[in-house]
Amino acid sequence: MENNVVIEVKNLGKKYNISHQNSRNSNLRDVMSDILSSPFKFFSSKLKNFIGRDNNEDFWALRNVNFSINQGETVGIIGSNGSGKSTFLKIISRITTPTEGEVFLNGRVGSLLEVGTGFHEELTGLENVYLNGAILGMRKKEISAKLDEIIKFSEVEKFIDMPIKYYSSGMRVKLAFSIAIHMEPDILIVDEVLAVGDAAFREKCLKKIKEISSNGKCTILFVSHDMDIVKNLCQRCLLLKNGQIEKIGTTKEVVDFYIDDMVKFYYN
Amino acid sequence: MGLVSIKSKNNLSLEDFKELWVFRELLYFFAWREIKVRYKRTIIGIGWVIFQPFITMVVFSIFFGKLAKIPSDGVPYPIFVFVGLIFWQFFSSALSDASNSLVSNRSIITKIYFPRLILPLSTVLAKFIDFFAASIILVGMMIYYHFIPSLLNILVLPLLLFISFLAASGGGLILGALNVKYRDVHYILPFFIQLLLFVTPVIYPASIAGKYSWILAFNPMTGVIKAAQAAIFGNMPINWTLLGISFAVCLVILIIGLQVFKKSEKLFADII
Repeated sequence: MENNVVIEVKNLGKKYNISHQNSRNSNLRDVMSDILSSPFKFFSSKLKNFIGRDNNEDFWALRNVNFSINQGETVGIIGSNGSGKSTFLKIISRITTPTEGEVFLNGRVGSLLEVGTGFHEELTGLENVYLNGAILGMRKKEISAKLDEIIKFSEVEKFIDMPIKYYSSGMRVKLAFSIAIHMEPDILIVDEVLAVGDAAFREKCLKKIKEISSNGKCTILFVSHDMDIVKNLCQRCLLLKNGQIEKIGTTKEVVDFYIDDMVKFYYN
Repeated sequence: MGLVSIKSKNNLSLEDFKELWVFRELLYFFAWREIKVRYKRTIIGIGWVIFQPFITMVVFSIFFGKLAKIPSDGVPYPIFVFVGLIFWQFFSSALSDASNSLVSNRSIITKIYFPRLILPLSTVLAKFIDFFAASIILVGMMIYYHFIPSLLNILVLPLLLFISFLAASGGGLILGALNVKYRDVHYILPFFIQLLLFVTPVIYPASIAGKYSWILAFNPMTGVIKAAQAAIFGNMPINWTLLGISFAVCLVILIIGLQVFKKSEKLFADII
């Protein structure tokens, strides 16, 4: 791996099993009801399973993906629904493991995949800051040091000692985003989180992301369907289609290609 | 954190333990959350931790000790049953919570990465608080019934707690991983734990099992509870052979648990 390469993706692939209705025997009750309702079908499907002709279909959500990203780059990942963006992000953030290939990461990954995960309803805002920070991989010392900043950015100072369950959804998102953005990762993954929160807070978050990206240390992977934001933030883009890289290049190049492609698809 | 490689892995390696060490604070935070959340919005709060084993002891003493007249090796029945109970409750509640820990934290598992081992382990750790709270009652009872064990015998108790920890963690890892795939575990487990109590010398002394006592030896908690009773009452020597077997069995369960967990871990986020 070269010196300033932060993410290197080699021949990455992820396979899922799409199991069909009649092979669903994952719990005892289903097995029992299947045997009772159609014994013949049940045993023939078991037999098929046994000799290897099962009704599980393989689905490659990602395949043969290769590329690398340098330190400090902000890279947009675009593609239509089901193109493999989420699977890719899940692999990079280590939530799921690849079926084949490998990814090398150099540095701490912070993902804003879904902010506020791990908030506990009964705990106060402040307690949740510590809990959520720890889940994101921050040290207690680190959280304490940034506590004032986190609370100030979140705009919920007044309610910080109240249990989260009394928060409005907007307040939750603000607090969650504020924690995540302050963890200072080496690689930041941002996935559609800006779709929530009001316009003013959204502006504030975008500004913060831009600020982080401009200091040249943090590498950002940005996923969005909003091409204006992608153009605004990213230098390079990666277009995924059916689990493979369709195009990779400068943002303008790739976004124009993608829009052309969509226009062709819908108007032809 | 330096270079990380993400690929399909199957076996437990040193890396896993290093990572666990890096995330040690999260282990603490999850355990803290368990305790903090459990008694929120209750009036006596943490008092429940003391209240529950105490009431269980009183009820058992009335029905099994007074009415059924179950022998207790010459020791007053309340303290006899209580010693077994605190170890049993630690083991059984840790085992059942650890088995459910992955499923009940589904939303975190599908969205954020951290070593998954932390979830079952932290639930087991949280049970230490309950154990220590119940020990306060035990100390009170020891004074009341005049059982003052020797220093050496007191030193055995942490070892016994450690063996119980191994057993609950190992079992919790296996059942927790299974529970992700087969939710049947969730329904079978309470029933299984109830049955297991009958082959553990908590309510009755191991001595009444007679020629069937070999059945009890299969249960790793038998050695622990017998040793705890011997250590505190001083009415018989600690059976080191039995304890050694228990220790070995629990260690094996833990190793199998870690391996099973590791093997299924990579699919958790996809199938949970």
